[in-house]
Amino acid sequence: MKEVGILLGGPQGSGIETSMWILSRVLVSKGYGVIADREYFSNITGRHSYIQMLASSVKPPRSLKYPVEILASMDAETVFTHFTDISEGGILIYDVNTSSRRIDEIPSMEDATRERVARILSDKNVEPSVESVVKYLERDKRILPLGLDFSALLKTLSEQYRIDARTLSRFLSGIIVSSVAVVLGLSEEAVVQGFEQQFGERKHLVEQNTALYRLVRDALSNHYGAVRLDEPGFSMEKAMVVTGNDVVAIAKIVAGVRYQSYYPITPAADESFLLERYDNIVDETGEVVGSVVVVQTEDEIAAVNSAIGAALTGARASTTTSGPGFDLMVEGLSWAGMNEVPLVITYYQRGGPSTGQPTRGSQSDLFNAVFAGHGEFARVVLSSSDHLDAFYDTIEAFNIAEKYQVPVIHLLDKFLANTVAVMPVPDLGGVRIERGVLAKGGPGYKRFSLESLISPRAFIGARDTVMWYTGDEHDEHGHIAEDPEIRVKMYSKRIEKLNLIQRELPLERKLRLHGPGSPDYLVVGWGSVKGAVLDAIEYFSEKGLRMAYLDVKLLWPFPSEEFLRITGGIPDSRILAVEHSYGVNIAELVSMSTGKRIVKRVSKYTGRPIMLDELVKGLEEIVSGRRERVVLTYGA
Amino acid sequence: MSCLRCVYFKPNSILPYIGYCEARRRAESAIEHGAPCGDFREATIDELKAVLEKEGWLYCLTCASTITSEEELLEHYRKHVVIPGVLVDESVAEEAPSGD
Repeated sequence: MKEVGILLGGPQGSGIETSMWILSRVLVSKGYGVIADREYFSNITGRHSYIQMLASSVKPPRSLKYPVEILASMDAETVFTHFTDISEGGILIYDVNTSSRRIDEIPSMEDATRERVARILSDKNVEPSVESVVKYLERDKRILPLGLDFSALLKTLSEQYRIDARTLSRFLSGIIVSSVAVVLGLSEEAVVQGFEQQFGERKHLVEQNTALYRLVRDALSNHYGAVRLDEPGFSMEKAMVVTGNDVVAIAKIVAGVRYQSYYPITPAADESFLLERYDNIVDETGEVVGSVVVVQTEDEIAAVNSAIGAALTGARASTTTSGPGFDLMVEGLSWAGMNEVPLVITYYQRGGPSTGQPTRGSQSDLFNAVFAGHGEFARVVLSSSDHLDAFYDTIEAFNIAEKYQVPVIHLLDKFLANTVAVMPVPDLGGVRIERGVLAKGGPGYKRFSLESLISPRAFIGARDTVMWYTGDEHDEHGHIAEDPEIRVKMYSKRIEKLNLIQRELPLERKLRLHGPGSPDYLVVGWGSVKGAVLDAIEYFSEKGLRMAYLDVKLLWPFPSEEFLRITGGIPDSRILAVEHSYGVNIAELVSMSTGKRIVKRVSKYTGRPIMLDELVKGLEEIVSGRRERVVLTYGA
Repeated sequence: MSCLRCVYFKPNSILPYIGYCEARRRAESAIEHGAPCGDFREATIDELKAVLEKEGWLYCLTCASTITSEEELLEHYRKHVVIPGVLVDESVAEEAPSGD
């Protein structure tokens, strides 16, 4: 098979994450491409979580598809929630000890989910027990159920190694990894390597998990290699298996960030946690050349203001947050706009409004990023559409911030933040650090000199230099000023930077067109929809329909001129927009910036990522003329 | 009747059918409908009340939730599996992604 979809499910805290990491690394080490989306509830342990993966022998996968070929389940809830997600002829790995569990005996299942699943089972005349579901799948869907006695496996392991019963649940991941690896026909050597990478110095865990793998392999010996991936047909000289959070953190180190502040919030916090692990940066000789100060502040107001302070001292400074946190930062953002502070805010969108769905994805904060903040001031809003993109965009965010002395919002989302993907090691050859026009300061220094749009920037603490920063309108020195002429000059200076940014940023930083220049249909989008859209375009291309994707990377200042130039030859009726939101707000932003109306829209706002198959069906509905608006809903 | 209802069995909070048997002093698996051993003894309501009084909480395995009052205990005792304690692996939270 060219590709295999795998779904791992179980209660949070039971080892699903660990299973995903081990399997991903094992598959990548064998030359396969992998992508994995993590879906979890917003509580710490116990509720249902699942990971949907795609392993590919053809290329690094860009999107997920359904149904999956393998469902590996730790508990009854996973079987009930995902039994419709397995393809015909697929494989279900499950714990035989859950066989008699009925759907009304699962306290962690939400009532709405339980009722919906119960209805589906009732429609199919299937009793609401795991055993009945398994029989139905075997009989009606030709699914091969591989039942393992998790309890017996763990007890055997416990007796062999005298493992504390309290910690036995940690080995659930070993069962899941082993069973999926056996079914895929992965070698013991590769699996052990995966354990070694995961558990590092803890040799006893490697040994115990290896023993567990052998027990599982013996139990499933008749099904070794039941699902075989083709030999990999592509190669990456060096690859990384990372989340979006990881990539942004790594990029910040490369960019020379020296101060990061944060208040913990899903899905942003993991970025800061990774940065915290690398407080000292060493060169090839091992000499410490710098450090990153990472501060968890008491709230987001302190986070943004402390990052502003750090930026004013000359440190490359950023803060990272999500929607509710950004809302608290908005006054600080306005201050940064007034004082031309080169601040970077990394903004990971999640389901809103308010607390919303903390652990689910969304692109519904587009207008928040572009327009939040009282008063008018220059800001730049960048969007990244995949992991490699996010790496380079992070560095560019700091370059833009410092070159133009504006706050930059790097707008990402939970899907990209939490998705684990394989990517090539970034090429640092073209990476540049641009600090803009700097000044030594000195007596009489004017921080906001009107001699040029971008005033030479000295840092607080520069020798013999006094400068003033205030939230009020100010003169060239920074003193509070209410004179109307000063007001107009300073206000204009700040805002007109947007024109300069528009003129100077290259096209590839603003818009990227994927596909033919004169397509039959043009899809417009931004952020993490790119992967699914590009795969959909490929599908349609094979069917003879020419589609292209216009990825909007510069959300503000919106590249109106270039947008109109690229879309000029395409009728409005053949342009459509895709977004993880209700309103598909990129269409509104296009409209207000260019006058162009995008009526046809594909929307998804369940908090789950857009899957390839549903996107293809949605686009077909629109292209056929049957509908102008399609709402996608796939995913538990 | 299985080990799950035995007063000596402390189940793992994530994987309730495996746990620690205080009578046999080892990890045991509580197979549902499997016959328990000769040491099996179901906790009486008075024993559970005493634990509740002393520890402040009991655990309902069926509901996966804690019981903190006698009223709740009486409500759960007949229909559900109420146990005097669970084994909690403190590192579990580190495996789960944060959700706040």
